[in-house]
Amino acid sequence: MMEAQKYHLELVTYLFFFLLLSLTSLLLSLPGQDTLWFDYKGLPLKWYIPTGVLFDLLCAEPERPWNLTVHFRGYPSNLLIPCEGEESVKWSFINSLKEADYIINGNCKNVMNMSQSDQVELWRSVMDGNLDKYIRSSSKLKLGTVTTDEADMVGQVKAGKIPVRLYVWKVDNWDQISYINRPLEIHKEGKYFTLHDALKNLLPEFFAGKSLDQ
Amino acid sequence: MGCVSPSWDGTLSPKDFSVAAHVFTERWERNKSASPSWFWVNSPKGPPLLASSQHVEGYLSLESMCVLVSAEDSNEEESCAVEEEAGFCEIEGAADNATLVQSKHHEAHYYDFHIVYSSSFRVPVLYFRAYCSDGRPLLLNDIEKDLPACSSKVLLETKWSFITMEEHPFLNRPWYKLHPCGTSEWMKLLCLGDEVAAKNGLAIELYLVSWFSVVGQVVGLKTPLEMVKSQRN
Repeated sequence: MMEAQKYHLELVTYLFFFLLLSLTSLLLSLPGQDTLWFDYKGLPLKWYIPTGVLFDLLCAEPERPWNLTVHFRGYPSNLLIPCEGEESVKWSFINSLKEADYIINGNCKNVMNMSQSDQVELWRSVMDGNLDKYIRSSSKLKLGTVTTDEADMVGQVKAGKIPVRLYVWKVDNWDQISYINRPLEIHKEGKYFTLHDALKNLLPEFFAGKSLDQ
Repeated sequence: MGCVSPSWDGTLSPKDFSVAAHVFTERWERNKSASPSWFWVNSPKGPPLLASSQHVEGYLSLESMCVLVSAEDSNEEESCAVEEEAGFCEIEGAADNATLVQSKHHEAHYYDFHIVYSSSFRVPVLYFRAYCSDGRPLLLNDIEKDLPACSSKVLLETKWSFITMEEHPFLNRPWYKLHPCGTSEWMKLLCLGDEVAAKNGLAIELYLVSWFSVVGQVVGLKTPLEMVKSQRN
């Protein structure tokens, strides 16, 4: 039995790195372990969801420190995507980035044609939770600028769409937590397009009677 | 029925997906009656809040497709007479274990296929999972052996952008997914490159038939020529 340990976690990065950084020495001393995984109150944590999103989804009452249990055996493969280490996490991120690129630019070329060194740099910034570095290396992907009414010669989808991934939390069970990826069209009418506008667009029935409380 | 124009970008609207899905199941049924059928699933376990905001409220499903795999330790003469390559068999009632575990030299692998519409890519995406007759899920290493040789090769070369495990958008469980990021490009080539189709306009309702004639081959599922013919009943 291990004693409770406290660690500082970057919310924008993935739990995997926390594992890598803090448990390496412990891992080396355990022969023949399975893939590692975490649970929070019995609910296995999905490594492909950024730590901060997990925290917000699962801790309605923010709990500090966040008490997680780490498991060394019995990976719940019916529920979680297998994790083959850092490569799995990195490609899960990059494949999401491709999807976002497609929504914004009508193709995935910016992400697919990234040079090896740009890719390494971008990934390192995510791992380190370094926002400045991330902004610098992701600017090459041209994912930030949303242009409206931009006529495109090739007829590609390019008119002001932003990728949104929305997680919706219901109760303490993964079957009740789902996400949708949805391109969202922005109609600028001289005002800001807010997250509230986006949510109203994605979940219209949610705004029909109730107020947004979660 | 809508036709595509020369400036078509190779994508499909959610509404056209539903239409094309029904044409696809109908034609599959007519031409591949011996194999399991495709059927439309109305998003059953869709999350309560999100279900109604899903633009496409369902997906296509074909379950319990059976592959007979030659057992590796078999060295008897009989085994030579059997097709060497693993292939999807089309046995009526393939879901019935009793008819399948008849040969000592073959192990049955089952495949479930789902065709899900991606709102991001605006194209259909193939998801699948595989399991043994005892229900044990197959890992990608095992699946790789069931795939046609060219797919196994691509899988080796581009491990992370061809087939990966991801969450099934409706079921929230890990399923294998064929990456869709090039789909609109090759659908454009496929449909506009064909002179006849370009002249007459490709019926958008045949999108899934054309799409599956390519994607199906990646996982060893062939589309009969009759299905692709554009005349209607």
